[in-house]
Amino acid sequence: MDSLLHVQNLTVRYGADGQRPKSALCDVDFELAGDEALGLLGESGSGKTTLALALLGLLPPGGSVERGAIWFRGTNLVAAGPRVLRKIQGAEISLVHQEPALALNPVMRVADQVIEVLRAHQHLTGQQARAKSLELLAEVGFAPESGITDAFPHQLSGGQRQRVVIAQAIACRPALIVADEPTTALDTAAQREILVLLRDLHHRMKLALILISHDPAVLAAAVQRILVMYAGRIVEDGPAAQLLQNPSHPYTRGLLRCGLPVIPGSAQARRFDCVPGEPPDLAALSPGCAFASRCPERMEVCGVCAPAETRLAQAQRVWCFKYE
Amino acid sequence: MNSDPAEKFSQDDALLRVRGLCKAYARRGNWAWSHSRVESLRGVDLEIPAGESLALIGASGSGKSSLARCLACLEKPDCGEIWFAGRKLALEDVSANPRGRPKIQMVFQDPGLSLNPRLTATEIVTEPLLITGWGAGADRAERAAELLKLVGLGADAGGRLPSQFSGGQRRRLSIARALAAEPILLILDEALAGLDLATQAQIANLLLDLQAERGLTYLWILHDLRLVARLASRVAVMDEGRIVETAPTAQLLRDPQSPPGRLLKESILTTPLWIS
Ligand SMILES: Nc1ncnc2c1ncn2[C@@H]1O[C@H](COP(=O)(O)OP(=O)(O)OP(=O)(O)O)[C@@H](O)[C@H]1O
Ligand code: SF4
Ligand SMILES: [Mg+2]
Repeated sequence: MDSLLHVQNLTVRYGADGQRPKSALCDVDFELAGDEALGLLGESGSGKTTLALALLGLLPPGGSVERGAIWFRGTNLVAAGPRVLRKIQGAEISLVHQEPALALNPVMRVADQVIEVLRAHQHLTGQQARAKSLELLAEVGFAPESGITDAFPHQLSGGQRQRVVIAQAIACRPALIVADEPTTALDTAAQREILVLLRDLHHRMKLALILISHDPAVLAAAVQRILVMYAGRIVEDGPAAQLLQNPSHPYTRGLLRCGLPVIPGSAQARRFDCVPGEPPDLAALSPGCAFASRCPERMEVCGVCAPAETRLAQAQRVWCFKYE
Repeated sequence: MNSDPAEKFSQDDALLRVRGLCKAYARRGNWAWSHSRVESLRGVDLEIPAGESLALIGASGSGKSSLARCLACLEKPDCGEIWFAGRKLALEDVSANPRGRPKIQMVFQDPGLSLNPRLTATEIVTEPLLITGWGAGADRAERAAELLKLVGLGADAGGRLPSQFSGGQRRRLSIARALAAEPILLILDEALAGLDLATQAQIANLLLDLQAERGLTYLWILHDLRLVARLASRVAVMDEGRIVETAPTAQLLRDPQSPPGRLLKESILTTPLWIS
């Protein structure tokens, strides 16, 4: 595979002074091609945001990479110095957060916010930057005559604000956009628009996309391949359609069973068939498979050691003893 | 509302009947000249039969939460009528009626904001009992323990602070508090939002079980139509402060009549998976 990004055995710990260290990511390993749209699926606390931040070299204080590598275009970001990272952050890899309101400056007009990002990374005259910013805002659906380019963030809806953040994210023509729950704070209509926009940009600008969500339907709308995460590990990796329709890992199967049908009045009971229990405490993981405490198909071996990667097909991997 | 209201109205009557409810807020703009009035409710008519699950849907800003707050006595409507269990309620808010409406309780989207961070779980569920003057100290302690157990919080939960619970557990805690006053009508304002799918399903199951056990009436406020399909028997569509359409859930999702209803339907994220 012609890969843009290669994450190798990435293990990240949180443990500021005194706290018991938590392994937020454990041996995460995957490759991403330059033209791929990848989804990260997992419940709260599974390590999705930690992975996103690690990719940008933006782990919060207390978080550190314990082992592993992040190869991006031949550079190992884990070993790179701050100068190299700053050049990559926001220019070659950019991040779109869940809460657009926090990413924007409340007292600055929309077009100026995009200009600011452009000038941070490129040497442009004021006029060039202004023209470029209007071009970028048009890319995300705001024509100059819409008046939105001169608006302040509080005058925009949540969906419009997220578009502005996306215009900033594509400003320097990055090779990769990491979007962490970009639609969670939006109502459903705006949610759909943003997903369609991300998918279009991915095709149009030929950029790689990592989309993070706890909702399979969100990922299904925009990505070709999905990694399922549980307790900081990848438990399944496969083509989106295949994985959503025919999941292999017991956790993925459980998660998709809580899926919600659109058409009411079907014969099934109204109660949800869901994964019981809560995710494990990452500071006190027992040996064996991390999902064992909730797994309906647990076997004896599952409590002894952790399952290794099993390749089910060319592009399909699962970490579970049932398949070893 | 002090004596048992459930017996005071005939069975075929709606438990809740709202007529022409209005509410406007003064909104401060950035400049003095931009102060304005926002009419969040412009004559809401709504009925909920006892035991029903009604979902209120609508774009953000359409007035769903304002309506919920007016019903739960957190805000005072400007005009209109609220009939509950056969009685007309005074239009008031907690400043006029500090006990609120015990029989109408609300569960919020963000328990992080609605739960007092300095109180333990036991204190949080005891608070409504104190306000309504329920029982003596020992009875209240026993009742609080029962409530925590009812919503699936472990025996050690009582002494913990909200910050020491996971998001799903905090949602359980706010359900326990809402149930403390023995409500008949629960208003669930985006009570499942912000939870991941597995937790959402667990909390939804808890609420469905409680409803079946206690014959509760639910007013769901939901933005995810996939949840509406599963949880509500009837749907009311709200737009710009009015109810523009009400229909049985299956019918509304199949063939919405109002433009806002159609817009909401189009926004459902469909994948082959969800149609199983
Ligand atoms: N700054 C931090 N200090 C200590 N622990 C942290 C920190 N940030 C995250 N964690 C812990 O690391 C684990 C993974 O968290 P992370 O935020 O990556 O999960 P997530 O999958 O993004 O969850 P969500 O869906 O809730 O956003 C969790 O156990 C979390 O509590
Ligand atoms: S390894 Fe065992 S416990 Fe883990 S998911 Fe597979 S069957 Fe379940
Ligand atoms: Mg996250």
